Amino acid sequence: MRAGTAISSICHGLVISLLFTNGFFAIKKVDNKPKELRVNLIPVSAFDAFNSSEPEIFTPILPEKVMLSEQKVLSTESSSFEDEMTKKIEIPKIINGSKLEPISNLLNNLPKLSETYRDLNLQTESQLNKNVKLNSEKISLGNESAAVESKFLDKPKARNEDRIDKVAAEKSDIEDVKAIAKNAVETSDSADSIRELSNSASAKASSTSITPEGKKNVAIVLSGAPKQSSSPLSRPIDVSNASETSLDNEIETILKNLPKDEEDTKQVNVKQKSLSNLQKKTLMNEINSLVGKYWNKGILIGSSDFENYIVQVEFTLNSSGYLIGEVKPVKPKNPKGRYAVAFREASNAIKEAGRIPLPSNTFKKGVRLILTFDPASGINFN
Amino acid sequence: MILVLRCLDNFMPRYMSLLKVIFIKIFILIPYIVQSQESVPTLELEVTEGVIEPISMALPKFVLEKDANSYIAEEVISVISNDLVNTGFFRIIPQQAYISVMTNINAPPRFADWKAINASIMLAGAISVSGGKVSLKFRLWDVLAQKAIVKGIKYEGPISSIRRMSHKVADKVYEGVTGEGRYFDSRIVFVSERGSKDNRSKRLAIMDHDGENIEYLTDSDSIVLAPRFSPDAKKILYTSYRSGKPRVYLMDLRTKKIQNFAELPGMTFAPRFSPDGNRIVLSITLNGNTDIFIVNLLTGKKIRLTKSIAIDTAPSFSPSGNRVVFESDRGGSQQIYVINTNGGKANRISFGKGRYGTPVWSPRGDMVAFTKMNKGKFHIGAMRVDGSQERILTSSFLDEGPAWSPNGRVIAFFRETSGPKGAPSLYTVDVTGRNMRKIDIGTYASDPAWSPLLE
Repeated sequence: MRAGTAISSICHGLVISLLFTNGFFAIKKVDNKPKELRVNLIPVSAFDAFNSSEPEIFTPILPEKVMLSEQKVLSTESSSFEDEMTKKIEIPKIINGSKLEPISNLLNNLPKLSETYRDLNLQTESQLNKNVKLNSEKISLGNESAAVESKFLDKPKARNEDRIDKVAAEKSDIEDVKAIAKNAVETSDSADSIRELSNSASAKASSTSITPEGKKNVAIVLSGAPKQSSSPLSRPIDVSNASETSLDNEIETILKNLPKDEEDTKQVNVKQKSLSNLQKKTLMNEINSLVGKYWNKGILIGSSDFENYIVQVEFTLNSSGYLIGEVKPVKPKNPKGRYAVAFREASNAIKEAGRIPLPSNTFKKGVRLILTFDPASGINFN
Repeated sequence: MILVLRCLDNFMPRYMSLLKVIFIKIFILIPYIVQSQESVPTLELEVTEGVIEPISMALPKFVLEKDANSYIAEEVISVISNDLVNTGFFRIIPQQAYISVMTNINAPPRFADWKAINASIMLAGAISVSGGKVSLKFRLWDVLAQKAIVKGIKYEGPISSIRRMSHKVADKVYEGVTGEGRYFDSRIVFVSERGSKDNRSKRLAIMDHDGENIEYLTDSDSIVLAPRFSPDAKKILYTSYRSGKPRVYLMDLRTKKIQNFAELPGMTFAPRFSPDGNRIVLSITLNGNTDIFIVNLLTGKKIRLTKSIAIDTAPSFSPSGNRVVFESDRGGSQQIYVINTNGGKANRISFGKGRYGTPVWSPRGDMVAFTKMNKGKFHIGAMRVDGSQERILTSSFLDEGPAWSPNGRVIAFFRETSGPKGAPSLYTVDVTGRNMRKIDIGTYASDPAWSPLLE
């Protein structure tokens, strides 16, 4: 009986302790389906291109605004011209209607307007154009607006190009190892008598008695250490249609961009709703950009076989985007030699990056990130 | 588990039903428990960006212990700083920026103070002098990880060797941070030149890798060329015209004693040691034909490696000693070939535009450095041993004579300026071509050869 009781109590104890240690009682409602994110690894340039949308330069409201300003100017001058402009205001209606008038016909009317206008009053013409331009400038539509205002957009630079060039330029200059020429001196034979203490001896000699250090009375001076710049904004894919700012072209562009039927409208709506994909890509881009800013691969590329030193690390971020715990090596699991250097650089980059902004309410339990650092990316010789 | 249940069933039938329920519940819940631990979503991506810039290093003054003085400490800091900065990998943060002052090498540094000035690594050291001997102690800290990259090391030696000890410290830092092999504690032998271009005297000289401690090895009575170190850095082979025609000589660096290979016929030149030091490979011109020979220094046996009517010269052993890379015009133009030391067919490895010469096998064995002549310009370059991935590292009026550093990461060469007053100087460039520096030694210099790491 006693034995039975003893065995019973031991077993109960074991079971209860097992339940406690495994968090049985601590378990709350479990999210059975963790959110899955399918990630495609693509180059940054491809990502930017994919992420950017074709500029939607003007909304259909724009012609009305333009017309209003024109009308405001012209109403005092000529009623006939006002009639002409009224025709023009109807342009969207014609397009949206079943009878679609060719755009070319509409555009053909524009020179006539100008001629009429010119006949009326030259001064008024200049005033009209001025007002039209001002109105069009006031419309802000994000990137698209910028695309309209500047005739020529600068070709975007490669991400690493400027930095590499800068370093290369700095290093290409020949620097003297010594400023003062030295005369011949005798070689010191005694130099050969240098000895390096064994590990145990050196440990004894220099690794004993760790004591806290004190002095802190030196003035702070800025070090001038390198600072990072933020990554460039994404750019529209095609800005060729939006590169001209004249009134005629603007209107033409408006007409081209107007949705032609219901299907087109649907497609536009679908695009706007696919926000989660955009968020994923944006997040990945941000992580790449943020960590990449602190990942110094210069220390690796000096080796002739630097392209081999690819390391994969994993770490966990909490819901606020802060690092939890340590950065752990994944591949190789136990980095040594140059791989250890590669892992250290990757790990330090993650730590230096600090907070990684995660989309709100997306990763309530945090997120585990597995990053691959490939030193060969973006590096070319010759 | 079944066994346990059966045992329990025998001894405690009363509790069995309860236990079974508990066990079943546990088995049902295990997947949930496991899942709850791994429910954090995972994202994978490749970091394609990155920066190429020197590592910010804090190099505070060494702590002075016992009879050490600040002059010695400054010398040590200066040597270490020069060595590291010249690699292009390090940027030393000015001492005026430091918040903390090191007072005790055995104390953990205030990482926050070093991080505040953007230091990635920090070298803490101490110097003490006792009985004419100097001891250097140091630690290298990773400021971000707050860990020691190089744990306490101590060097001891006479005061006169303070520079060499400093090179060793720099070597340890370099090795710890980059993972590359060391090369600061090494020497360079070269041809020192003097006089006008049409009447230049040449003599052998040796110096530290940074241009210090120059010592002349020969007088300027005869022309000397192409000195090469033995693998133990105690002897050098070189070519001299002291007999009126080019002949190979061997010099013991400690005793300065010179030996002649009298048994070798004809003109002998372009010698180089094998990795084990027991053989030399050189060119011999006999009856107007230049071929490559291997001479065993232990047995005196001579092997003819090439049998071509073309000029085969500038041979260099692979680190394994099984192959030799050399230049030859057997194909109509000067190109680089590789041949096994036991003979056989020579394989051409250079196929770019222009002519290639003076190939040197890297101590790592992965690359061959060369001189390239194309469109009136000279280049120093490096390629894989199969001829792929050719990299042109320099370009000028005349760049020639590449020599690998002991770690196979840096190439020393000489550059001659154009014009009647043109003169050669020594330079170094790393294998990326990004970091080229002149070694200013106050004299014209050519034909550098880098020693192995000193013991």
